[in-house]
Amino acid sequence: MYYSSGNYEAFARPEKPEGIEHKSAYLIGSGLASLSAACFLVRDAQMPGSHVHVLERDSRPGGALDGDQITNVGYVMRGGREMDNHFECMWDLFRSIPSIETDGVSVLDEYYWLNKSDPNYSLCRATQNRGEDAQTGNKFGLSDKGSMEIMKLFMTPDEQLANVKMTELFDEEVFNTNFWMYWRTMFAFKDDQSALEMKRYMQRYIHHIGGLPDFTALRFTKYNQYESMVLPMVKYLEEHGVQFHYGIKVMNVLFDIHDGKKLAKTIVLEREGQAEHIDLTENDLVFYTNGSNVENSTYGSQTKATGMDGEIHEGGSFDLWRKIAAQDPAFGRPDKFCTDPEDSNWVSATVNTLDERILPYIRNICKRDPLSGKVVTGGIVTVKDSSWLLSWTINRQPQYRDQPKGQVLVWLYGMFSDRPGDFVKQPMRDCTGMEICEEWLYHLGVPEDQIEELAKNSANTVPVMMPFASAYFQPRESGDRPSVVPSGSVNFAFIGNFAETPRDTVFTTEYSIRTAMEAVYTLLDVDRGVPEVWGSVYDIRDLLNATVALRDGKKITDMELGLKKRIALKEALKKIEGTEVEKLLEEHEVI
Amino acid sequence: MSQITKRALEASLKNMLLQKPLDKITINDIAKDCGINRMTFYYHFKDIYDLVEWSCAEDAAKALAGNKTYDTWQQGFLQIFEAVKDNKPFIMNVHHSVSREQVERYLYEVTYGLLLNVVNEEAADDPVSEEDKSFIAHFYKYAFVGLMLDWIRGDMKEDPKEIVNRLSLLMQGNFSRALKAYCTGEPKQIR
Ligand SMILES: Cc1cc2nc3c(=O)[nH]c(=O)nc-3n(C[C@H](O)[C@H](O)[C@H](O)COP(=O)(O)OP(=O)(O)OC[C@H]3O[C@@H](n4cnc5c(N)ncnc54)[C@H](O)[C@@H]3O)c2cc1C
Repeated sequence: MYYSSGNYEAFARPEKPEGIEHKSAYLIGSGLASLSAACFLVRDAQMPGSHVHVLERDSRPGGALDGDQITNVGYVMRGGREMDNHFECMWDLFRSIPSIETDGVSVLDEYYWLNKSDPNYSLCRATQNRGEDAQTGNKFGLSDKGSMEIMKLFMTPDEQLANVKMTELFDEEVFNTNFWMYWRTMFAFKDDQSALEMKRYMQRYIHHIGGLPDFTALRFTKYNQYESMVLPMVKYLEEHGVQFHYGIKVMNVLFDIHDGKKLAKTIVLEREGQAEHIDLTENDLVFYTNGSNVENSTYGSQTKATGMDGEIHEGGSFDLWRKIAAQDPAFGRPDKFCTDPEDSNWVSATVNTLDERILPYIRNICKRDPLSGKVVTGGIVTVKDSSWLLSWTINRQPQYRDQPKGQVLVWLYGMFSDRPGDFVKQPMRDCTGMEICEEWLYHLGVPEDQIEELAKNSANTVPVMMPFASAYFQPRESGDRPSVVPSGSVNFAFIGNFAETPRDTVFTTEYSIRTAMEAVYTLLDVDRGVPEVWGSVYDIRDLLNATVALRDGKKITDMELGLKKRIALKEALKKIEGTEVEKLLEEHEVI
Repeated sequence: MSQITKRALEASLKNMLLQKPLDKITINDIAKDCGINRMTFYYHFKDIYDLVEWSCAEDAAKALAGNKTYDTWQQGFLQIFEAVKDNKPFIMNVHHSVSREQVERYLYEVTYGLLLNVVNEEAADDPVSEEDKSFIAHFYKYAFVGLMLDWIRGDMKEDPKEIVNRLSLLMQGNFSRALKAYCTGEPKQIR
């Protein structure tokens, strides 16, 4: 496996790897990582589809990518995905997946045209005082000191960031700014989470810094991701004969490890309470999604709270990872991620408006018609002064293909589920859907005497608690996440957001797809480059733009400097006078 | 179950084929013979035809192992004959069922692979286009497999050694003559 960039590799198709007819594959889980691995096996490794087996515990595919409609409870999406044009592996894949909406076009075409004709941007990024625009003015509001703290993290080598929390590097010059408000709510980062991951994020998305405040950087699918991404992939795979097995709880994978060789020998599983096993040879490859950030999701309803289940259960994804990790140090350290649910949990909720009455309050904030079928909020709106730290969003409606006309689905989440609300004086996790809706309506500015009535009769709200939602961001060091293909592994790969691939950022769809692509290309010797993580961090233009954007457009020549530094800067500027460097700095408004 | 499951299922299939025609064999029959539950079959194969295809692929690969060169193609072809003969009940049965096409397609593919290797080796770096080389391999593939199918239809009575010997004599020099005819420039080497 090697990385590449540019069109030569992008448009080339790999030759069929030798002996592929003699191999088969077992994919544990059917989330995005597994589905992608299956697609790469079929498309690039050209494995006969019937040799590919997906083993899934649930009764439906997709894992975290959901779009459920629970009988007698209602519509519920655990999340909505913000996505990027530089998700290189994702678009490499989706160009080949046919749309299930329009004949003859790909999922990529569909997505590209939609986001071209109706581009995303926000007209109100945050509110305060119950529905007032917080007037962030698209500014980051970082002081020189705050910018320097961020720059410092950017430049610190990874080794020095092992297990470091952001609170150890940043102070209120960062935490009390718009920058941090945008950042932590957009990516769901908590202050005490991994500085290493934060650094990766800044490097990975350096080209988007300028588009962060108003979300011009983002793109979205047409419907929820189950309908827009999972269903087309599953259809493609089924048409190729890929075998889906549901209701299969994988309990363990047993290895034969000696002389530096690691061979997965047996998959131990449970089906309908019965123990079964699948024995494996070197020709049977296992792709395992270790850990899941939707593990132990608990659903509430309009009248029921979610509670929280932070325990690790037998047959769950972290339990399985533990059993595998116990067999070799190269298989990672699950406990670094799954043992602090109080920190990693958050609650999201889907509010289904049933009539017109809530809509004017929405329109008042996002300045668009929620029923137009086009971009509505253009990304999340954060309620800056809410104790749960609520953010909410309305994507293009309908969000489900069968959603009744005139109804709107709002998605909201709170990062602090243990704090009492501002209107509903209870922690979010103890609130029914209706109570969560009340808290949201309060922050929209609905008059207090109408809140209860609207939450009760004009909406149906379904909350869901995810105890491990941001487990990806727990402070970590090298070795906590196993390599995609650990050294010496003959037939086994880790995929998904708890496997390690250099430079890419977790809590993303792309990360699941990338690890899947790398795993397939490595284990099957697919001779074509895997697109490298977009290289903007090595592009001087992006670096200059980001530097200026972080300083809200202020030039470095306007920075407040001591006498000595000012003289040094003047000297430096003199040196570059009349050169390309000076031209470049001027073009990017650095000086 | 001492062997690994895929192999064991193959053995059971072949065992069942001694008793009844392929079309009459169910996954339950195979699972029972193999001593596994029915679901376990599906962890390995989509259906019986998937198992048939896999068995063909494995047997052919074993037969050809290492015998795909100019000097050894006779050996490789003979071993395909022998593999087919070793699996006589299997092949005869499958050949009389709806999977016949599957087996034939497989024989064509394997034989083509064998022949293309020989042609490539023989052409070395003579300027012959890939298209022409593949044409030559395709042409002989039909002759080779035709002989084999005839032999199968005749209940495998003839001695494969004799067939291969006769074929070998006929083929002597044929590949290089054909290649010369398609040569688009100065051959680098006169054979
Ligand atoms: C609320 C939320 C918001 C998000 N927002 C964004 C975003 O804005 N942008 C973005 O790019 N990404 C986002 N993501 C991230 C992205 O959706 C996930 O990283 C990705 O979908 C994970 O896919 P996966 O296949 O790696 O893991 P999962 O989807 O977690 O798949 C794991 C699968 O394994 C199965 N499984 C577990 N244990 C077993 C077992 N013992 N036996 C058999 N099967 C088992 C599970 O049922 C599941 O299907 C978000 C995720 C969430 C939850």
